[in-house]
Amino acid sequence: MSDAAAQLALVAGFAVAALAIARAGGLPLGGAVGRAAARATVQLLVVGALLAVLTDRPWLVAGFFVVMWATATTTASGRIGVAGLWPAAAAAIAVPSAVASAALLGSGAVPVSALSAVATTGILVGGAMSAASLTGRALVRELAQGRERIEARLLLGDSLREASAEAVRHAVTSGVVPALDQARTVGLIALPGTFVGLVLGGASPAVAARVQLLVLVGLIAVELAAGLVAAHAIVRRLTVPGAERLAPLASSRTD
Amino acid sequence: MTAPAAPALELDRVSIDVSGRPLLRDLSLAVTAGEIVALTAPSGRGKTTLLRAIVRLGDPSGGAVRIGGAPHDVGPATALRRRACLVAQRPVLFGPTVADDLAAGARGALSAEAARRLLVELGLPAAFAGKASDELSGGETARVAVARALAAEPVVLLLDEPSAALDHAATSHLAGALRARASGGLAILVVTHDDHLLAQTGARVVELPPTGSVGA
Repeated sequence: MSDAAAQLALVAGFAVAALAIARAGGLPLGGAVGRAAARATVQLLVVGALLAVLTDRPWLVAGFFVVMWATATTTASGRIGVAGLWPAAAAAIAVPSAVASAALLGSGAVPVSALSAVATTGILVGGAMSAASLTGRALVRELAQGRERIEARLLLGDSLREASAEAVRHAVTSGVVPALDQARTVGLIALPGTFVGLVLGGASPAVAARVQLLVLVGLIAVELAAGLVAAHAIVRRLTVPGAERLAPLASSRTD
Repeated sequence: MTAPAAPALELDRVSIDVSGRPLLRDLSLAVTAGEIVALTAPSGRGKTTLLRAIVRLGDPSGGAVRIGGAPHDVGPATALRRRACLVAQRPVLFGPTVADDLAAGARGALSAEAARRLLVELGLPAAFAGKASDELSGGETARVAVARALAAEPVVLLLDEPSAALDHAATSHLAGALRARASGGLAILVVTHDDHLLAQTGARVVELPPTGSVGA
């Protein structure tokens, strides 16, 4: 049996184990586990094959970026669930991740190659997507639950941006918690992907640690920016034009 | 001879629908400077929705709302809400202290002495200024919310069941404060079921019909 076949067999074994655990625990996750495992298998096989031929095909690198950003934007907008948010989500994810990628690659901190550009940008796009999604969901929840408090501020003549500032702060903070946790626990609980990848690729642990540090702290900045842009875009989308109030999110009172 | 001044608040054939259901039809009503008008009606008739529509937290389905003769939907809603202040039925205080809440009403420009005067005006001890807003009772919260709205120095004060959490004595004090403010030129529209508040303020009572017109 080849290495690849053995690894795929092990993947199937883990997936079956996860399905069995879900069933034994009475968890309605069988379908989700199966679909996630199958989707990840297909996606990673395709990505692995594409990355192998990436270096001499620049147009393929550009296509990779477009697919990454489009997928991340669609995923984040869908998770947040506010209509018409796609353009703002695209900006929230693309701009901070592109700036940070350019800084990492342009400074020479990360080797300049098609492969490292895709890998580095992928990490940053993933972080921005996660932060935008978490921030957006938290903000929609905060706006719905804190509606009376926000309206109390509006009644004193505050703009919706001013009245929702507290909700935005809470949401952005909660959106960046995973990145902060990862930075706090790095090396103590788990070795992150960049570090592992570089060491497996032959880099010294010291070099791998320095690059990982750059990526981790860069991620915090990217996620903060993505969360803030997404949060303000959500407030704008949920503002009734010209009336400086929140659009209905749930039920409305009649008397 | 000069033209008479426009009413501080004027509702001109205002209709209110909620989810396609008509609540109010063609309500016409004027509140002049220095006047207290009380709106009464059974629950579900749209009184709260009407007050919210006046300050553009909702939209009337028809008719016109004018503040000082100017349509309420021309210009920024933030400016409208500083001229026409609504105290909600369940007011929310921000804190951390009562003084901070009063300063929020005045948008930051309120002296300590002015804050104490507002509290005393509403029958609360001046020392309340330093009290934590989240430690107040329902009745105290209601009175601080009215004081906070007064700190904004509006031309129209809209009150939604302001005495719901007040005892008899506190209601009398509130009524006295409203009478004093009205005599100073403030126009007040109050939604209430409280006969004691009605009697103590001497408000002109307008009962909302299911449909039809109420004369000014």
